[in-house]
Amino acid sequence: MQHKNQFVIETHNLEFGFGRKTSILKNINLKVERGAIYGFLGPNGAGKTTTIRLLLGLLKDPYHSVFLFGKNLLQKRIECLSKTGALIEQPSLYEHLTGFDNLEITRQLRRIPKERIEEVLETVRLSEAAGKKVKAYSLGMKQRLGIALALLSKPELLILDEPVNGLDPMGIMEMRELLQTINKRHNTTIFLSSHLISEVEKIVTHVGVISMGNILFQGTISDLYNLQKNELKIHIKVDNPASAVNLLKSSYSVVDNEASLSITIESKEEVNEIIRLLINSNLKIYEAVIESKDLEQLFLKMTNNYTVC
Amino acid sequence: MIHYQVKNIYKMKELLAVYRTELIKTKNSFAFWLVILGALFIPAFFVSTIAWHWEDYVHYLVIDNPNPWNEYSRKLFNGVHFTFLPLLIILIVALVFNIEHKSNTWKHVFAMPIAKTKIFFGKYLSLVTLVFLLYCLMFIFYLLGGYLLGIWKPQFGFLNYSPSYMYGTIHTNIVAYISKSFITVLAILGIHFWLSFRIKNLFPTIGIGLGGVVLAIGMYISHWHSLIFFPYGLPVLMCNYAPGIDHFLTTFQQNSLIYFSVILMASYFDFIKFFRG
Repeated sequence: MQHKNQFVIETHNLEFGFGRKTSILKNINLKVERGAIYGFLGPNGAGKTTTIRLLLGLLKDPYHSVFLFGKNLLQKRIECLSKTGALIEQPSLYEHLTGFDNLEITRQLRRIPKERIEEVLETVRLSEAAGKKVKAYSLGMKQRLGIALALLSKPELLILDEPVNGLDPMGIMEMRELLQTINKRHNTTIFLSSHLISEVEKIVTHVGVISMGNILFQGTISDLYNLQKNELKIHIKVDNPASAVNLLKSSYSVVDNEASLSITIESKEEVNEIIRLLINSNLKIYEAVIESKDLEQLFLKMTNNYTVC
Repeated sequence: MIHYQVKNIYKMKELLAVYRTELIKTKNSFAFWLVILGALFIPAFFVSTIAWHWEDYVHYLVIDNPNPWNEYSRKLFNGVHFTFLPLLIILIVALVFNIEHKSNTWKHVFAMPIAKTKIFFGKYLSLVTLVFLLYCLMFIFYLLGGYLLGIWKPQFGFLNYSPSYMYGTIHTNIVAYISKSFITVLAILGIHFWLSFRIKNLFPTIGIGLGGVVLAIGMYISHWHSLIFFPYGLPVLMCNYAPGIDHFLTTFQQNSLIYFSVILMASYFDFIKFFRG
């Protein structure tokens, strides 16, 4: 069955469970556009790795609901995987072999020209360490070699499971730069999972949030920022709270907390307007604090609320 | 027709690529060193024992026949087949699969655009190659041991005669013996191939193998006739085995081939249908 659309990854009500009673994924409908960097976010145990394993055919999908490049993965496994590079959890590396040998194994299996090894080694800056045994590599080097393995076949789609996990801040920054370069230079679609939004929010174009096997949000990063706008509040202490409430209640949602007033705003630009209104009414302002929820808090709220429900 | 042939050649090339990568994986691995050291162990142990008690052995090796190779071969081959060879095969198979389990690389292998059939048979071919290499090296060390003893003590007479086993030459007896020995270990190879990809931990697999070998020795010592049906006992039956002139396989060797074929098919089905690394 051929699906003519722009989605590189598409799942139709993807479900998975170990046994009849344990449901790990429920009705997952992923849609990843060509050329996107899609951040697949969720806390530990949310179902990210299970989803990725299903996307790569490493777990059995009884309903055949995974489509890569518009083709059903189970029906066209070889064709789909030939355009896909992957890094799942920790990189799968033969530690008793050199970095070069690890790449050589994948090169021979995927029938790629030999020169490509030098190219990917250069891309991930491992040319000098290629002759060393992998067991002597640092975690960051192993992670980069894992990326090199995934890149070897010049894939159209790169699936990376927690690619920055365990890396130091420098390593995280390098990985971000590397992924952005790959995406821009070759228009490679990147699907990467993470449990920390702060690690990936700077590079992703699209976001999917998963918790307890359910997709809670899916859209562009700007859609997510828009959600965040509605979560902005300003706390103001004034000499006469009752007058302030009367003044503002027609335009804003105001709650009198006795200690201060909590006013919900859509953007930080509105703070100036509120302060001006209060001053013009001769009210004395003792304190004004903006409580802005960043994406991390929004993400936590989203996933925590779902967990509590 | 041409299209069909091209497709077959392509499939064969893919299988060879998997096979080559399997051999790369064994580079610097425990399994590879075990093949070399295992092949060396019995000949080295046996030759050093003879060297240590050379005066006794000068008489012993030429007691019925002036050609010392007969007794030297019989003793050495018995030493190889009595527990040592089955255990070595079990360890080699377990260690080859441990490369994949330890590095957690099954997921990488299965996420590649390669048919599972080729992965299965590529692995099988590489293991058969390692076992074949073990036999070749053992044969070389066996010959080398005899010649070294001959050079060191000409009284043995190793240099005066051609290598012989059961009064037959390399062409008539020794190659036939080694080939049949290879056939008798196939049943164990098949069983442990299946166990080793299914069980991630090395020790249960080795434990099962060790239990089987110990049981086989018990059966051999107690002269149990049913030993010919026990896969772990088949190599032990190669002790003092004289290859027939007709070169046909005897019952226990046929049994090994039957076990191997059945287990190969069952493990293939399991690997293709259910095994996901």
